[in-house]
Amino acid sequence: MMLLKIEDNKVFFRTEKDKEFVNLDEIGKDDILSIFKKIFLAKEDENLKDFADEFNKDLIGNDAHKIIYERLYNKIKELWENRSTIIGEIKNEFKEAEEKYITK
Amino acid sequence: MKKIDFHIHTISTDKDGSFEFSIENLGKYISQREIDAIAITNHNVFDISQFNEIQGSIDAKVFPGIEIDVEKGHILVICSHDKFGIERIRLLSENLKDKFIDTKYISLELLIKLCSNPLDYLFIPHIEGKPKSLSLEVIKEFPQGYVYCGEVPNQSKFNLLKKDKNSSLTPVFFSDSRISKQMLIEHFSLRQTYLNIEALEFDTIKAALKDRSKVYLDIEGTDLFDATGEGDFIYPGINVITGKRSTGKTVLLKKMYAANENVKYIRQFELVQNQDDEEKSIEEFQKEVKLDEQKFIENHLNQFKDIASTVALIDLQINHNALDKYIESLHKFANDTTKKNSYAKTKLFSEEKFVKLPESSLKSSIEAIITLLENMKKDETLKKYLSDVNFNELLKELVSNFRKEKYNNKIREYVNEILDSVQPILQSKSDSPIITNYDQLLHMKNLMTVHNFNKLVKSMKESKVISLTNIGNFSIRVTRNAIDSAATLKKKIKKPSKVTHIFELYDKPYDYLIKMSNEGLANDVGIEKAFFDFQYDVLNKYGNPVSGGERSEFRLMRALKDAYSYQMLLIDEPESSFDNMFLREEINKTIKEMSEYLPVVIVTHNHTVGLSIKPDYIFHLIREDKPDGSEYYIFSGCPDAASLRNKEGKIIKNYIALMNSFESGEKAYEERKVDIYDVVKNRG
Repeated sequence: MMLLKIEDNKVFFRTEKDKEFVNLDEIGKDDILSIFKKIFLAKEDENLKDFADEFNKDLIGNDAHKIIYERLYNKIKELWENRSTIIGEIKNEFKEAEEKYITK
Repeated sequence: MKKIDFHIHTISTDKDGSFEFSIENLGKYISQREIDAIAITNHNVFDISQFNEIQGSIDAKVFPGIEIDVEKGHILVICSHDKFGIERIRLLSENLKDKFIDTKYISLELLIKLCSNPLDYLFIPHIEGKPKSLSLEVIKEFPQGYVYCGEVPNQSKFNLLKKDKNSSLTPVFFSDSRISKQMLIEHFSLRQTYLNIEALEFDTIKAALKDRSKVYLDIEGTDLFDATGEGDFIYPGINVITGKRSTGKTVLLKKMYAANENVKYIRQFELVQNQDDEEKSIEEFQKEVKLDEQKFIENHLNQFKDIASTVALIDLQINHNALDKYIESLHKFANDTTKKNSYAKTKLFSEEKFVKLPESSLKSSIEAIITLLENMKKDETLKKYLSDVNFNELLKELVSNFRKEKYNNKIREYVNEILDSVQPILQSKSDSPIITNYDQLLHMKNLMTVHNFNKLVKSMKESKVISLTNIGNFSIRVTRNAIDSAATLKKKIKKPSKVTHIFELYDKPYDYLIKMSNEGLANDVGIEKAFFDFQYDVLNKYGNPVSGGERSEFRLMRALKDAYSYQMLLIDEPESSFDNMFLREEINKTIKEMSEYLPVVIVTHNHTVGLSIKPDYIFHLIREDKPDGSEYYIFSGCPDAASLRNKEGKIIKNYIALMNSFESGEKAYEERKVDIYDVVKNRG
């Protein structure tokens, strides 16, 4: 599900697959949070490029977009690379508790 | 026969309660209890000057020794009382001096190294459940010739071990007393061992301790022991005291209670509740059961407690605000490009810091493989399946990856430090807006943790039986429930103030947790207690809640179970609150089992208790009223003996005593023709 794309020298985003893409100028906190969550909970076999176009400064003419997207993309990439470790960590933390308190 | 006490403390170490040694009281103790030989055995230390003083002034043989902490247990190490023995113990103490700085116990290996010739020493470990007992595995590891006797916790264990043909250890029973200034003569210990020997030489004592037929609890060589210090001998098994009302039964029991240490005393009517107010007695009963289960609940909740305290540190509001500021600053910065001066145009001006990466599983994998390699040395199955694996290469690669990861993290930290120092300078020279920091990894992790916490609490609130324990025919059922009202919550967290505003959040576990911890409301009781309610039910053998009578029975069963952690059990007229069927079936069985662990004394005038329990020894008490006052007589003997005897040698017929003692008397017997009496009658 594409959430961030580069098109016509600009960057566009959306938070749901059935929503329209919006100019990056409009992006706010809740939008970013919603995008991060989707990236974070992506399936093992999915690819980052299915969610966000890779940052490429030559493809973005809009200076503001260039600056914002460069940083945003790096954050997303970092999140993508570390998500399974973080999820594993949390699951481990709750695994014993679930066994003790819930299943039996 | 010689009486010895080879376990006496005269120095207050950090393992003892604080006390001031009194040589005068040591002298009194020895003469009062007519002891022939003692050993001074302080914890991990020997004070030669104090020892010399004791040896010089006490009218008994005094042997030097130390009680040493070895492999999570205690062992007495004793030597001969001549100058060679004293020097051996002095040297041992000297060598032990620096051994207990970092550790609480020394190894068996070290002990054997320090006492290389077993012929020079006598080793007596704590055994059979005496606190700090050495495990059988450790005792087996001693080389041949070191250990042949052990110190037991009570007379029953002594008796059992003495008769146990499968055991290689001779039992000994000592006072383990701290001889202090405050000691009262009436509290002098009754715990000593008799040895059937003529001379008190070290080698003779050692030889006797290798032969269990040479150790006794009494001077006559019977299996009885003095339970009051006044010559009231009882058997290290089940003793029954009978007699009519006001013949001094309870007085005798109280004497035993006062003269012995660590005694469980179940007093008459102690277990009976006031039956008039059913509701109140149920509530009190619940409270008692709850108190007993406290430890279980704490154990049950400990993991939840850890999770809750971790989650309580998560502040999602801070994470949200950081994201808010971040995006706002990003927008501002992006739209400000035209105004940027040369400082603001540098890449470092707005470069973001590296976030802290989570730790991968590499470290635990490496540790697991190291454990596996260690275990493979001993475990044939592991060897069989894993010998083909190239652990060397695997470990090499994992360690290399781990180091790369570490290195990477270090570098990132280092870069962050540079940013920390450069950015403020650049930013101070420019009016351009700056981009604030935001850690998206931490934010996502926190969100997910909170989500899982909410899910966990929701499932845990569903009513669930978390424990079902059997005590005799009863079972205690503990159910975990959701808290049903603000009033219950208030009771649980023991707060006088209103908690309604907090309880409103009860269905949003994370918000509830944060509010609760912000207001510090559950600080006294622990925040985990504010999440769930526990219900305690005691059920009878049909699975139904217990009735008033059954509650008393349950309390007796529980008191008996509790007695396992004592060294003697005294019960005063258990029949005063229970019906006979219950006593016969349940309590008798339990008491019989218990008498293998500790001596039991029961006062009764009920025939069911008195006889069907099959006592090992019986007492019969008589009061004779005379014009100048009453005389009390205590007769005792084996239950199958024809007659019972008192201290002065007076004799009464066993059968007559028995009939006398029961309130129903011989008439009831004639009516019922209970078989059990015939056994005794025919003997009489």
